[in-house]
Order: sequence, then structure tokens, then C-alpha cells
Amino acid sequence: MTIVAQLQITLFIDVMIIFIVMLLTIAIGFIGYRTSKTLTGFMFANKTLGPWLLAFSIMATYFSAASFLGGGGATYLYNLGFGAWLTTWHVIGVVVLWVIIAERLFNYISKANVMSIPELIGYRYGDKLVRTIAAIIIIALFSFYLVGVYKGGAVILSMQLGVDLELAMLLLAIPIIIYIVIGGLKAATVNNLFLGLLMLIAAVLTFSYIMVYVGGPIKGIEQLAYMNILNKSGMLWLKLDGMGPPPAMERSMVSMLIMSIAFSIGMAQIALPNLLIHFYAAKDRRAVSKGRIIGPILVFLYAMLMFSLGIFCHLILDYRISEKEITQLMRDTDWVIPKTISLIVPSGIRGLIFAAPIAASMSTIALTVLTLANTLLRDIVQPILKVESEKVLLYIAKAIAIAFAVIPIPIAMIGGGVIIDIVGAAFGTIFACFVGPVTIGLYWEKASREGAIASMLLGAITGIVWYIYLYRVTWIYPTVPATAIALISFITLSLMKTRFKR
Amino acid sequence: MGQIHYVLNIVEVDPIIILGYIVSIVVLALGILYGVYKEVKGE
Repeated sequence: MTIVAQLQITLFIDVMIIFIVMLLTIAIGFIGYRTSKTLTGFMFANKTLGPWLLAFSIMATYFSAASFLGGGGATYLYNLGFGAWLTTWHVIGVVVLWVIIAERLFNYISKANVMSIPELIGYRYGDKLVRTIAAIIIIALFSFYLVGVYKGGAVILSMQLGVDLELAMLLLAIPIIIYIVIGGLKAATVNNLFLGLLMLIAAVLTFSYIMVYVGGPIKGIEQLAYMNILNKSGMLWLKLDGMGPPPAMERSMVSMLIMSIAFSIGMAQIALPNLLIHFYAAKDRRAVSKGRIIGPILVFLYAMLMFSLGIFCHLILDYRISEKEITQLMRDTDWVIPKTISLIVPSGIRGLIFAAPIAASMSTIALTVLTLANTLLRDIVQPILKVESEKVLLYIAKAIAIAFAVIPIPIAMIGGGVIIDIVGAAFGTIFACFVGPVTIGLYWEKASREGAIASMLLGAITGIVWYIYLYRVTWIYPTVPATAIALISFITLSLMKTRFKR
Repeated sequence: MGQIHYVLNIVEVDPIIILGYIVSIVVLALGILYGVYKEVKGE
């Protein structure tokens, strides 16, 4: 057999594994077929989610392809501190979500009988305007966020299949649309259990192959310390204020940049509507209680396995590629893990690992699309059209879900940039907008509608303006100023109203 | 522990980086302990 023929067979095996995963998601979609015949069934799986489905689905929704590609490869450019503190903030975020927010939110939703995050905000502050603003912000920011998520999964698919990015995005969207339309949230969460498990297996395999190759983390770090990377000492990768993007290094802002990115992405878990919506579908309080133990373990495992791998890839890649290619990889770190895997992992297992970022994208897109459909239907369409028929509402919900699954594809064709930046900016801005009105509002009685409106509007404006104009000047991630301004306005206006009432 | 000391002393990994990993483990442990405590208490 010729080398070309052997290469074709190995590539065929990897591609087949990816296709099998995608076909399985469609088959799993039928699990939710019976449940999704009503609107509540379609949107909330008739409130039947147990602890495993809740924990896995929240983890798989939260981790998109950016966690595998961007998160995995980031320390090829950034120092090890990025991996360490990204892990830390993820663990803090997931523990806060499950310990402080989950049960309180579940109890509140059950009492208020609300069906969406904007409806919850509207109920909490007794106002329709605050509900509409929340709905518009969710729709705008999540649509932008979906563009990044699509791109993350599609780059791997296009690389493996040898097709255009446009076609790869469409291939990614097709199974998601099918299983969402067939099975709604039930299908999406059962799929997320499957896809989340696949992501964890891929993370274990990726970590193991890289560690075996470099002789374990301790030996790898030791080798890196004495390595010379593009005329820079490897020691720079072992200091928190060491290696980072060159402009940030010139301004001595690497530590600040790392901490602000890690905080933004990790803490976003506590206020992201596509995660919080899971608690609307929880079976009972015991499911939430048990999920409190499972959820943090899943996020910890994935973060520990993936987020620090990039620096070790220097020991694998740099001896085999040119300086020009190393420079290119340091500019676009999303390709570090795929390139390393291609070199050291045999065919078959490689296909399984490459299926992980695709799985991660699919699980995030599915739940985000359902959150968007739910928000647009409950908070914009239904109040305007006043439709009462359950059947008509179900058709509209499915049509909106299809539209939201397709719209990001043409938008993605226009935009550019590194995946982690796009996802990080949207993530962080959503966190800034909703951490006050939703998360703090669950506990703080004095929280007012004025504070909530100001928090959401100022959070969104600051996050976007800072990202466009000030991020690459100050090297402070937009979430930090956006959250600070949103929270200051939320607390100040709420306190002022209390005082004014007195 | 011996290996961590070795890396810290010989290779000089920034202690703040090691602190990040330690904080992750401690926060996770506290979260699990709280979850188990609530489960046992039946709350």
C-alpha cells in the first residue's frame, strides 16, 4: 500500500468518527420527541431534568470550542499563569453557580412560575420595560456570541473534511437544527450529556498524549525553562508577569491582562442566561442539590486537563516547524492543539479528539439557540401578537430556533478575529449586564428596577465600547470596567431609591 | 510535595502560578464538602 493510500485511509477513519458523532446526535434527538409535543415540553423538557443531565448539560453548554482550542492553546503565547488562573476562576465561578445561585434560583422560579430570564427580571422588579430591555440585550449579545461558537467548531470540521468554512458551518448547523426541532430541550440536554462526556474523554486523551510525550508536567516544565523560543528564554513562560502578547509586555500589563481575561470567562457562569435556563427545567430540588456535587467536579476536571497544555506544545512543535510557523501559531493559538494532535496522536483516536471541539460547539449552540428562541417568543413575540394557541406557539418557537441556528452563519462570514476574543467579549459583557439584576437581585431586597435598567444598559455599552476602543490600549479586559460600572450604577440607584422612598 | 518543591526551587516557577492551582483545588474541595453536607442534612 502506498503512503498516499495509507494517509487517505487514516483521514477517512478520523472523518468517519466525526460523522458518526454527528449522526448519533440526530438519533439521540428522538429521545425528546414525545416530550417536545407541547411548548413547555419543547422549551423545558416538562421539567424532568435530573442531576446528571443538569450538571453535564450546563458544563457542555458553557464550554464551547473556544475552551478546547483557545483555552487549550492559549499558553503557547501566554505564560503558565494564564492556565493556572483560568482554571481557578472557572472553579470559583462553577462553585458560586451551584452553591449560591442554583437552589435560590430554582425556588424563585418555582414560586414565581416564570418561563424566561427576562420574565424573571420583569417579575422581580415588577416592570415590563426592564423585561423588554433584558430580552433585547440577551438576543443581541447571544447572536454575536453564537458567531464565535460556530467558527470554533467549523474550523476543525473544515480542516478535517477539506471543505470551505461556510460549508463546515452549515454541516454543523444541520444536526443541531434537526435534533432541536425533533426533541427540544430534552434532546439538547441528553445530547449535551453525550457531547460533554465526549469532551471530557477527549480532554483526558489530549492531556495524556501530550504529557507522555514530554515526560510528565514536572519534566516538561524543567525542559521548557531551559528552552529558547524565538530568542526568548523559556523562563518567561513560567512567570505571571512574563510572556504574553508583545504590546501588553511592553506596558508591563501581562498579569493584569491574564487576571482580567480569566475572571471574565470564569465568572461568566454565574450570570449567563443559557446556563441559568437549565434550572427552569430541573425535576425537583433534589436534582439541583445533587447537581451541586457533580457540576463543579466536571468543570474542574476539564479546566485542569485543558487550560495549561499550550506551553508543553512548545516541546513538541518547535523542533518540527519553522520560526515563521511558530510566530504564526503564537499569533493564532487556536491552531496549537490541533497541530500538536496531528503530529503525536494515531488515527482513530485523533478523530475522537477532533470531534471534541465540534461537540463543544454543538452543545453550546443548541442551548443558546433554545434560550434565544424562548426569549424572543416569551418576551417579544407573545406580548405583541397575543397568541394563545399552544400549537401555534410551538410552531413559532421551532421556526425561531431554526432562524437563530442559521443567522450566525452569514454573520460569521463577514467577521474575523481570534475565537477566544470574540467569545470572551460577549461572555463577559453578558455577565456584566446580568450579574446585578439576576444574581444579586435574587438575594438583595433593595435592588430596584432603575438600578437593573442602568446596570444592563451601562454594562452592555461599556463592554462593547471598551472592547472596540480601549481594550488594546489599556490591556484590561472589557468585563472588568463593564462589571464595575454596571454594579456601581445598580447599587447606587437602588440605594438612592430606598432613601428617596423613606 | 517533593516534586513541587523541586520545580519551585530548581526551575523557579512563579509561586503565584502554583497558588492558582492550589486555590482551584481548595475551592473545589469546599464546594463538594458543602454539597455533601447539604445532602446528608437533607436540605
